[in-house]
Amino acid sequence: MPRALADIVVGLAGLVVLQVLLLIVIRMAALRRARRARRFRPVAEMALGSYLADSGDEVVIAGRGERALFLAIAKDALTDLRGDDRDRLVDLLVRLGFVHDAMRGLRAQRRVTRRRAAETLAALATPLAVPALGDAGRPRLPGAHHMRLYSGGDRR
Amino acid sequence: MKILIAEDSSTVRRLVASRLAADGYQVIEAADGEEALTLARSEQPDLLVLDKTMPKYDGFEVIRALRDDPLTKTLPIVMLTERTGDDDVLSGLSLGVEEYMPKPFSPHELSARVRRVLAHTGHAAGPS
Repeated sequence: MPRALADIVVGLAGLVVLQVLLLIVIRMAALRRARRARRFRPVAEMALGSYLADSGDEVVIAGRGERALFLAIAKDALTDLRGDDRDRLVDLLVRLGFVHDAMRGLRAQRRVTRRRAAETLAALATPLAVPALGDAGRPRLPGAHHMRLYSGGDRR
Repeated sequence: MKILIAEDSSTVRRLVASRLAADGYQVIEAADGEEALTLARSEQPDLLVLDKTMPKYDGFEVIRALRDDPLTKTLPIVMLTERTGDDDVLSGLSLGVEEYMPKPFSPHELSARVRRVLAHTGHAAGPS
């Protein structure tokens, strides 16, 4: 009995150590992501500003992390922009493949990916995405209906 | 010609700064009301683009402090605001805001309004 108890204690201690290690790894990954975001954010904001002011080079983004952050910043900007500036930013996102990625995301297995894709398309509100939203599983995509209404897709 | 942009959203601040810099203005940036007041006094800009909602001091508090200071009393202000309610507009106008720019906005239009305000306040020569 004492031997079995000792085994349980050792097992539990091992689990605790594993959990602590896992937490450290997760924390380190989060810190690395935050550091990368802090470094990249001003660069991305400057690139967006220069693009809209016609005073910069073509926007170049490398890597999945930077793409995700760039899209988040661009979506932030879209909420504060209107008129030609908004249209030009949406055009840039289309050219950089974000709309294509989001349309593909509508058919993803993971629900969270489909939801993010629908949210992205709703934020961009580009008529380019209307056919993809029509094809997507409507009951699974609460954002799709809103997006179609917003972009005039339901009136066609 | 020097323009101070006071806006807590770094994205909006950079969008506005890029547009005005492309037009040839010298741009300085503040991320909150306190920094805006400090820079307005130390840098003596020709115009202030001011967000209404900011940490530390909001837009109206910044305007009141600027109007109480002889150094910044006549600084022209273009105000960016999420709210376009009559009360906000009236408060701003009574405090001496030259222009209102409701969000969502167009940086190109903001630039045109900045030019107009500067022309009206005696800076007709343009950015340089």
